[in-house]
Amino acid sequence: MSVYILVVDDEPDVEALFRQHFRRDLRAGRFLMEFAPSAHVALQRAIEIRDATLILILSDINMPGMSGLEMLPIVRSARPDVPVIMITAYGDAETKRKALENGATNLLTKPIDFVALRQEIDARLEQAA
Amino acid sequence: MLDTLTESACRLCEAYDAALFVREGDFLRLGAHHGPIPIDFNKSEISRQWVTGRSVVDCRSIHVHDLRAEASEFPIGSDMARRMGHRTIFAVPLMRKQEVIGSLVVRRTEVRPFTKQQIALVETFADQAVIAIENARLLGELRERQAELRTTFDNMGDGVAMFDATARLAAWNRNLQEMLDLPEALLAARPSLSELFRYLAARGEFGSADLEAQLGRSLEDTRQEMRYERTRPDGRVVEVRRNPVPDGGFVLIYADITERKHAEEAIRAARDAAETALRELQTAQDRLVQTQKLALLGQLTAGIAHEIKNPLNFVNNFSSLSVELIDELQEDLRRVRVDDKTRTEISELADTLRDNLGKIVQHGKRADSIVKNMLLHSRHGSGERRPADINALVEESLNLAYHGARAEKPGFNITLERDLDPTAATVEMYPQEVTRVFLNLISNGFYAATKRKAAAGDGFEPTLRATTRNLGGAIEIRIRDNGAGIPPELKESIFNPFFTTKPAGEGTGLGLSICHDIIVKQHGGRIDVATEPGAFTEFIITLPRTATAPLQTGGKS
Repeated sequence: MSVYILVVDDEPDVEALFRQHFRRDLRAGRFLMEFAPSAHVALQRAIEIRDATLILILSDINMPGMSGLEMLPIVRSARPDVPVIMITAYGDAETKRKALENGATNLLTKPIDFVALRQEIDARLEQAA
Repeated sequence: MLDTLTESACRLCEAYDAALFVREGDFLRLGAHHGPIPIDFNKSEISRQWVTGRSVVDCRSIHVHDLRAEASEFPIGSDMARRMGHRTIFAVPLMRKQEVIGSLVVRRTEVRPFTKQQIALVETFADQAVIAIENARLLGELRERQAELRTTFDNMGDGVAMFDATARLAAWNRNLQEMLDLPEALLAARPSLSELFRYLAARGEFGSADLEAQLGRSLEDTRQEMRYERTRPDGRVVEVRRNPVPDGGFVLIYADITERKHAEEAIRAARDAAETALRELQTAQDRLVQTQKLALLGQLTAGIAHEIKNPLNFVNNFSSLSVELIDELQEDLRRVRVDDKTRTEISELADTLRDNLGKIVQHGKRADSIVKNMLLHSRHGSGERRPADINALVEESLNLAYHGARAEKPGFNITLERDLDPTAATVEMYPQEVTRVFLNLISNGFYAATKRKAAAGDGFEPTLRATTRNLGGAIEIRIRDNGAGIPPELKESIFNPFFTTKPAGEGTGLGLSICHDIIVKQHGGRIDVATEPGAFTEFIITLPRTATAPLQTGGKS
């Protein structure tokens, strides 16, 4: 059974970046990646993929329309089983506090530390297995 | 005087009486009378109907040998003669210049005209009477003036003492006596100025010995005009003036100017207070504008930096990824069968491509570090103004900067020296902003010292020293490194925006300019630099304890 990671970011190039970075994992079929360009689309996907194969949501904060922080409590109540990691350019203490309060598992800052991100993904995969 | 005159006239002229009338408007009033003939009126209207009256109207002497025979000529006069019993009468007008001021009259009860000598005698007496009356009038006027003067003298606000040519008290007014509380007996004894002075000094009037000595000296030459002010033992302020008078004496005038002094003092205090308030207001306003400017600049820079940071992240991410991809591509190529020439060409192209990507990574990182620096210098807002422990702030900044530098360059090391004044205490400030300044100066010091280490080699020990010193109303913070120093020709420019000596990519040139603005414009302090090329650089910051006690502006403004 294949597992999904949902990445929410309004920058379309994020998809290319992630797919290239995790090309070996994707090729090896360790997990699949889904990309949503907005919080609304992301919420739809999270609800569509109803089974346990959605193992992680990575979400940007600053997006047009609904922000990542606004989406966070909604997605957490819809899918309490799926951990959410926020990724933002604003790594200040206040943003981090808000994110964790609203149910985020962690907050990573841009530029993305892919080593740390891979560790997070590996931990999810182990739990899912 | 007039009585003597009438008596003499009566006696010497062998008259039975002599009377002197004084003119009062249209009437003659009896002024003096000597002799047994009665005069049964005190006042009578001037007219030609009686002898004395006619002498006044005609301005000449009138001699009537027998008044009873002249009833038609002098109806009133003959009537008087019948009543009083006189027969012969001689009246002389009293002339002062062209004006008749009265009449002198002599009478006899029998008909016996006055001789020429007697007439001349009466006329002489008349002249004397004029002089006597005039003198009496002048004396009266003088007394009146004197009384007026005395009243004025006593009622003037100032105390006045007049001294004669021998410097003895000649006259004084009530105010002087009351103001200086002088006993009647002392004044009545007409003391000399020095006696009066000694009396006042003995009573403790002068307070300070200096003033007493000075006043004592002024006794010596009383011809000098003099003016001084002094505060009396009861706190009243008096102004004393001494003016010489032409006859050789002098006048002392005491004026109580306490109220005036108080008013002047109050006005001065009010003006000073208003000026101070205005100055403080202007300073506060300047600071506020500066703080707002810094905050705005911060927001602006932060906004721009973030906008640049996002695309820059993509550049950096994709370029590092591409380096990996090239490596993988070359790996794959090795398994493909191609001729050697093509393989070499492909391999060379791939190498160039990887080098290019390496440069993109390198320059991307450079741009990223600039953006990071901009963000560091422009954290949003200044926080609030509050008292902050200066030593704690310096200590915190040293640690932050040290660990920051270690994180950036794992091999980084420097000797930190602290000389923190335990009495430094707190300073009213924007702690976040001042920490920015400290961090900046410390990081600069680290940079300079390690750079010199890189050039000088193992024998050199990079050192940074932080010093605080309590200056009372202000606090001094020194950050000193043993780097290469600043050349004299650059010293002037170091606080200018965008001035930097660091190689491209290592500094924005904004650090010291922002430090300067924070210390000087926002906190009313000063920032100076002491440096010796090849030895050290020391930044000296002086911060006033409170916002309302600004320093003399120093450094650059």
